Amino acid sequence: MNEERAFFDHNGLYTPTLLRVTAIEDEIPAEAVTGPIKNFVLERNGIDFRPGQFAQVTVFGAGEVPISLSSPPSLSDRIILTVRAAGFVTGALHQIRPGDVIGFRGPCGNGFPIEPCIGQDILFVAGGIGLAPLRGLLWELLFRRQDFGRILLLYGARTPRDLLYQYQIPEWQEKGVEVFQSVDVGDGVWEKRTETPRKVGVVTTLFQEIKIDPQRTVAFVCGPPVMIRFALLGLTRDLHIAPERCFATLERHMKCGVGKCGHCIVADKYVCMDGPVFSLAELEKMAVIEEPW
Amino acid sequence: MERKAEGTQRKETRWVSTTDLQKILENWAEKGVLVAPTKVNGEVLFQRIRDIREICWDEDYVNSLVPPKEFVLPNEERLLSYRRTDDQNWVVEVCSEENQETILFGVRSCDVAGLAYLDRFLLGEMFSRPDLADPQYKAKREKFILISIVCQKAAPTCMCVCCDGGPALTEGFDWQLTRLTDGWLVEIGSEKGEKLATGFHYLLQPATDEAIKEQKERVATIIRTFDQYSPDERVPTMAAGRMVSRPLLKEEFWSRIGSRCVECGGCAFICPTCFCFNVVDRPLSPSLQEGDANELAFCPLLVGFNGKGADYERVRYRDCCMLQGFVRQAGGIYPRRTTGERCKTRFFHKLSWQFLGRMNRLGCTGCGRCLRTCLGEVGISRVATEMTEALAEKKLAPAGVTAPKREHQRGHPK
Ligand SMILES: Cc1cc2nc3c(=O)[nH]c(=O)nc-3n(C[C@H](O)[C@H](O)[C@H](O)COP(=O)(O)OP(=O)(O)OC[C@H]3O[C@@H](n4cnc5c(N)ncnc54)[C@H](O)[C@@H]3O)c2cc1C
Ligand code: SF4
Ligand code: SF4
Ligand code: FES
Repeated sequence: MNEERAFFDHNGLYTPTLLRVTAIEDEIPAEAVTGPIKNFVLERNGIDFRPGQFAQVTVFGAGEVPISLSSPPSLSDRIILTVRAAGFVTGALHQIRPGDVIGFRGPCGNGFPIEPCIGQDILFVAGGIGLAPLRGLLWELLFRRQDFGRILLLYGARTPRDLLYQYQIPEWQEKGVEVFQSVDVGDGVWEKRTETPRKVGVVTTLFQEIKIDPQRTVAFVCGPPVMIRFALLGLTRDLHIAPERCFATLERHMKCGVGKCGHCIVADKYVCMDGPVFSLAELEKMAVIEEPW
Repeated sequence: MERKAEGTQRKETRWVSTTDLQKILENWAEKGVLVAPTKVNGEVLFQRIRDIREICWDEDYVNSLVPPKEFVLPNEERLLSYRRTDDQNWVVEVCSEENQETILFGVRSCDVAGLAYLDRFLLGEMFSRPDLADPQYKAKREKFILISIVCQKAAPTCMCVCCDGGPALTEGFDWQLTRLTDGWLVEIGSEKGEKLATGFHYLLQPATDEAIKEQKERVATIIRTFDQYSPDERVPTMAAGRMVSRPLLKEEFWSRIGSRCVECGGCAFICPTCFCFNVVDRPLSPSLQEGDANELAFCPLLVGFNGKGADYERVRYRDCCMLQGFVRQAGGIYPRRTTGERCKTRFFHKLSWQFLGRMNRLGCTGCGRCLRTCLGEVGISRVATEMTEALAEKKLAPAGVTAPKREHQRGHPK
């Protein structure tokens, strides 16, 4: 926390730090439904952060957008961003080359609570690019695997081509992550394979595949708004997990990331400062005023 | 909550004659910066002045057309600039400006309260993160000395008495002046104010008990005249606050209010407590080449991005939560699609207990500007009155028959 403060103090609140992009990898091809997604590997430059935090990323000449940090803080030499070309700035980011510099302002937001999870079973529910912020947390847990009980990952995307990080799944399974996947529409091949239990349907249908102990499970959810809504509903209604034990990370239009521009307000919360991670208990309170999903 | 207007807290006081007050201002205008209300084409605006004869004195106006937030949170402001140095590298230049000590003279209490509200938010106090204070705002704000003047005449739109925003305050100002039959009572509200009083000690005199008593009486009188001036505008802020906080009003109510909004943004731009801003990066000097003309016409930013431009600036400018694009997200995700939903958010931010708790005051200081500005009568007291009426209607007709059908809503066409 102190280091974060020092970071902003040193640079001025709105001034980005320059970070070099050391490598760029294609994650999802342009032909996929979600469009092209790339991983940008940045030099670390001593920046400290927690999983679930995000940064305001400047693409010089284009603008600044909020992007989650999708690598674990314990991976000491780099920061990885997983970015979908969704519009003007993210489109421009997709055009840069390795060796270019980008601007980095952060880390912003609260991040996932890790310490309260010690000794608990962890259930991840992710939809589409929502796996990006959760991946940082997943890896962080795996770096200290013995501190946690079971780790389950339920991951769904539109089509098999839209599933992120497929190359890392064997490694996760080796470290004892129980991976279940789903796609909305199959391609005739994917659904016949058996490396991971899989289903055609929305991600919440995977809830039927798992047995958990709701008393000792903490759930983390990220994905598009509709998916968040149904996933949280399923977690409490079907899996009987208490609202205080379910966490979701929200996405909102953001311009400053530091509680100044007012764009990210939901009910009485500022997603950039009070979030982006909220417990379902908090979300339910917000929902009385304004639907957060 | 205790009404601040009644002035329970004891402040250090002085007395100054009108000539000596003019001397203080004259002296300041010579060596420092003096910003004061002036009359421009019949409207009162704050401006930097060098000759105190330009001042439009308190008896000639109720309040300025726009609040003085303009001087601390300008409509448009550069945050930084950056420049391409070679094929792959950029340098960022932070804009730091030298600000001179400035007296903001003649501010009204509602605008002093507005600045206090901006302070609490932009200086990071609301999040208990003063380390995340807005540097541009802070640099300007620190240099401002607020000399406010207690109102002795309310406009029909004024409602500070219902919002803890006036007509006299107990905090937030550096000096608070009250015009008396003879001279002025000076209340000193801060360290800055004390410093100023020390600097001009030779022009100030101790306040007599009579002067203090007269000031109290004058404030009490003006509070009484509010009812007389604006019996209808008296905002039932507490009742309205309850209704937005619970929330007790149904979607139909908000779509009815929202259908009157033409999305001009005026309500936020002229509000002393509204701070929201948008940020864009734009080329400073797009070095145009042949064939660029078309591109420039459609998207000036693209010319820069193609690598032809080299210098950019990042600017922020005022934004308004009533505008359609305020919360637009990439990928067709679009919270608050209708003007009605956006109205609900606006009034929630202004009047709810939730924000009252976080900000220590209402988001409205009662200046009445939105009431005068709005083309669709979505001014705050107007809506607050409608809120209470709606609740009364519901009591009479619990089935909700009075609610009109969903009217035309300006949603995103998608
Ligand atoms: C906390 C957080 C974490 C995110 N993490 C990731 C991530 O890891 N990977 C990823 O690909 N995307 C992520 N996003 C979404 C990403 O910020 C948007 O896709 C991006 O802002 C779109 O900008 P654009 O200029 O490309 O699109 P345009 O549609 O051209 O957007 C124009 C402007 O609108 C605003 N805007 C539009 N959509 C969003 C949005 N969804 N969120 C915030 N502002 C928006 C931006 O300020 C942008 O400058 C995240 C968003 C948030 C809030
Ligand atoms: S509420 Fe009124 S002032 Fe505000 S944007 Fe709508 S029309 Fe303009
Ligand atoms: S909401 Fe309206 S009356 Fe209240 S402070 Fe803002 S402009 Fe003034
Ligand atoms: S992003 Fe600016 S206030 Fe949250």
